[in-house]
Amino acid sequence: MGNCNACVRVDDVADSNRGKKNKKTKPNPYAEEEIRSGVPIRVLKDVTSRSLIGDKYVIGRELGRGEFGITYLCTDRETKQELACKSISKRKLRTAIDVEDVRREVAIMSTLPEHANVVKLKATYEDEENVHLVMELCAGGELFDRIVARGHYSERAAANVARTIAEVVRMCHANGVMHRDLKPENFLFANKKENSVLKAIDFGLSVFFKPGERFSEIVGSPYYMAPEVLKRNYGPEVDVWSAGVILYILLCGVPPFWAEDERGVALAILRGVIDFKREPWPQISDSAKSLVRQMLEHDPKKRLTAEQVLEHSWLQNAKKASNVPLGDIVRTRLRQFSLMNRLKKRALRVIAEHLSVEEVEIIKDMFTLMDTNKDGKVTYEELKVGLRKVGSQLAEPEIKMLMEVADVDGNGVLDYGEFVAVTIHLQRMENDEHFRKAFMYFDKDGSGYIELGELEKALTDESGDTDTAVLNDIMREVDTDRDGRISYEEFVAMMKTGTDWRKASRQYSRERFKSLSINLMKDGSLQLHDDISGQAVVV
Amino acid sequence: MFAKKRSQHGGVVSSMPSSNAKKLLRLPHVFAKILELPFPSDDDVLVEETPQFFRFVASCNAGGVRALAIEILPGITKIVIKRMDGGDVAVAGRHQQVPSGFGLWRFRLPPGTQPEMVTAVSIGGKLVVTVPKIKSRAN
Repeated sequence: MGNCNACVRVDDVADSNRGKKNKKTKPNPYAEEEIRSGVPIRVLKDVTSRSLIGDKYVIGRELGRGEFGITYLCTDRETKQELACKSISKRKLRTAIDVEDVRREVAIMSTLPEHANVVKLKATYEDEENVHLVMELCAGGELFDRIVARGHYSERAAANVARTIAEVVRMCHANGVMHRDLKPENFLFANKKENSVLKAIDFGLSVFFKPGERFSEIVGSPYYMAPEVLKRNYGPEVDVWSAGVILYILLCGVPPFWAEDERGVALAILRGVIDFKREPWPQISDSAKSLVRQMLEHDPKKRLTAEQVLEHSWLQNAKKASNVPLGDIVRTRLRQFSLMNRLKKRALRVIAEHLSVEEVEIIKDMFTLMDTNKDGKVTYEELKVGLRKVGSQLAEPEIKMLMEVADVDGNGVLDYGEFVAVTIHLQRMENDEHFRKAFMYFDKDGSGYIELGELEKALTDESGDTDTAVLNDIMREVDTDRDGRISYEEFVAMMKTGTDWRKASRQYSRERFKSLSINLMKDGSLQLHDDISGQAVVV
Repeated sequence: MFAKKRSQHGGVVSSMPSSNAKKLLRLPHVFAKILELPFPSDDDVLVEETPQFFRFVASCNAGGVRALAIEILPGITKIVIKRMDGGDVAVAGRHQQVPSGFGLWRFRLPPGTQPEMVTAVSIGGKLVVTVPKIKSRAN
């Protein structure tokens, strides 16, 4: 029943803080009849042991809490094994339905065979105030939290999660159990590792079913409920729908059926329109979209079964799926940037100087936004704060990488030219006109080639002194026909090196840049004219 | 000569992970009939059941209140308590009203109740909410 999280760590709770609340019921002046007696209810019918939970287990710190229970770390007194104890207060069991749900949860968890992806129920206890369910400990946190932290998953990682969830559904259905409450909050990772085993943890709304049996009770969670639940006529296929919603969320970070309130969400579910146009769906494989569509099939008779989901080619070929979450593109670009030769970096700055007013405006404003002390340089701290301000989700290691690779002269801060150069690189240029202008900048005598002398002159301007070995290295790298000078074709080839990214990344970069721009506008930092703000402004 | 290759612009601005987080929320369960009170989920609320009604009594300094039966869909009704002006009743210990209702005191009303007939009164520092039951023929 409810969201019981076995692993969110909170500060230790001293034993005294869990003392009993001894509030006596005050006489109710409005009672027309005698208040029902306060005799504590008996929830578990066949308690196998008369002992108390404290006889066998030491109850430790609170791990998390959900709608109906609090989960504590507990330790077996004999074996020292660490477990999780979900304590459900009888004060929360407010109706006979609630009581029946707990009984059924225990019955279901006791009935299901042991499975690597379902948390194991070890023991149950009941006292005057609580029902205690002792389960194996999952210390890796909720799937929900990892989704929120990542934004969304790569196809390969999403396929691994989806396979686990589909396997849980298959096993439940094979054993006559309908889960009815599948959602990311109800899956825990066994440990902190990236490749940790994932386990289903909550069967509070689950029910036994026989093949062909229909149900009409409305239970579930918004976003994840199948349309036939809302229509009050459903069977176990509802779990495949919920798994399909989770898969959609894994791949793009937001629910497929979303609105500001519960009614809006319910109507969106009934409408059943799935948005595959929003980012990042255009970059996701057709096979993944095919699976999502078939799991979110409105007609339960046509919807895939859990077994069919497991047989789908996208899951079968998961190792071939892209393992580059789109957020990693920035990291990859930064690595490319650090490997560039100095001519290319200098060329990017030249290109920056030739950007149109509109194109450079946003970059300039981003720089100004970050340069909080207005000294014309951005420190690492300013960069970090500034990126957060524009809504960037770059993690600290990525920001450090950005700082290191962008800081071409290695003085520990970014000047405007360095900032623009790396920004342009991240946006992945497409305009050959920029290449031409940059080339002509270096080709001082207009001969159509960049000679060694011109190269030396251009790079000397920037760094003060130029190592002959560096010049020779650049010439050797760029001058592919070995005629001792750089032609325009060789120059363009150099500029495009590392551009062999798939088409998707190009589109994503533009979208990210526009998102940053939009965030800047929302931040109030940009003062764009109306005729500009409606335009895309990438190079 | 080198032709210009200006890339196509357009397309929908993508959501950043930060805005994704605002759209993926923890939400409480959906049931056919649910009562939500403006108190933390752990608060003491006296629940009284008679053959005619359920009654809920709790300490509350909300002033004038009214009960609204919101039909989420036909067959799904949620009772919420609002101020007379329609605004939200402040929930103790809750700095910001979370529209999702997660963490509020909730009660799953049994099938035999009539949430659309709910009444609420705030009197003497107490909030009293009454949900009638469907009258059975046997009465």
